Amino acid sequence: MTEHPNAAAARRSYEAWNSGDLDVIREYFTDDAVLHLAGNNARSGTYRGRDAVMDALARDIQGWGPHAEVETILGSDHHVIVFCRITCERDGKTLDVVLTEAIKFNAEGKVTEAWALSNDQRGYEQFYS
Amino acid sequence: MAEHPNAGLIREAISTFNRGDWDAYREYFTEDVVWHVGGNHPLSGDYRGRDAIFEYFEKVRDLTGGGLRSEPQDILADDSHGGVFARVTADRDDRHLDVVLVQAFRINPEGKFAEYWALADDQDAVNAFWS
Repeated sequence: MTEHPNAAAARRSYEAWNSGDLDVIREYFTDDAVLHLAGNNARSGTYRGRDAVMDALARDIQGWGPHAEVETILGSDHHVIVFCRITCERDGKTLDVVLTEAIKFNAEGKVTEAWALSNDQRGYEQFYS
Repeated sequence: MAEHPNAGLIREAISTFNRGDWDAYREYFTEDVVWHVGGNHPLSGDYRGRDAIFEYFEKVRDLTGGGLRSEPQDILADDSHGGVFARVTADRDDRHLDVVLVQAFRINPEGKFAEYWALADDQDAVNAFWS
């Protein structure tokens, strides 16, 4: 079965993330896209607008960008859910979690809203604190 | 295109939850299921094991008078994973909850839920409702 176009778009954006190509990722978001980063740490919050979203992602990727290994991508005409393993090392701390990311797509195949949750919230908080 | 069997499974599980048929609902989960509830509220956290998640369901039921309802808008699935975008509504005293909750599942080969993530589109509203 061929992958749904929205799932394929999400897969390409994860590949771009792993190669640090933020310009490619930028193209996937609408001007008024919203990104929710769950948790209670320095990077948590809701980022509104493509510039704010890209600033948040750029902060993540600079210097110590976490690597994302995609397990599965589920896609429909309006939504995508990504299951991926995120690993990263920084300052002697190790992050190794499975993250689910939910993404809303508009009719033009652009991302309007995205949010994510890890399977080890305490580990996640400690890593990002 | 026919619905994937795991999409049908999620649809049935939600309908069983909405009916409040806890004995039947238990059958959808592995014994060592892990359940991740996002947010910063008293019910947030990682729950391990079927007994632990049913204690969580009982708290949800008690706090909402059994009135929490989940209405699926879009169900996605493959052979090992599934997810649903659902409108969740509930009332608690004078508080009203109305959010889109994404529920993501890891599904084992026997068709049981082994791991679960709940992500709300409006986390602040969810935090306020349960706090």
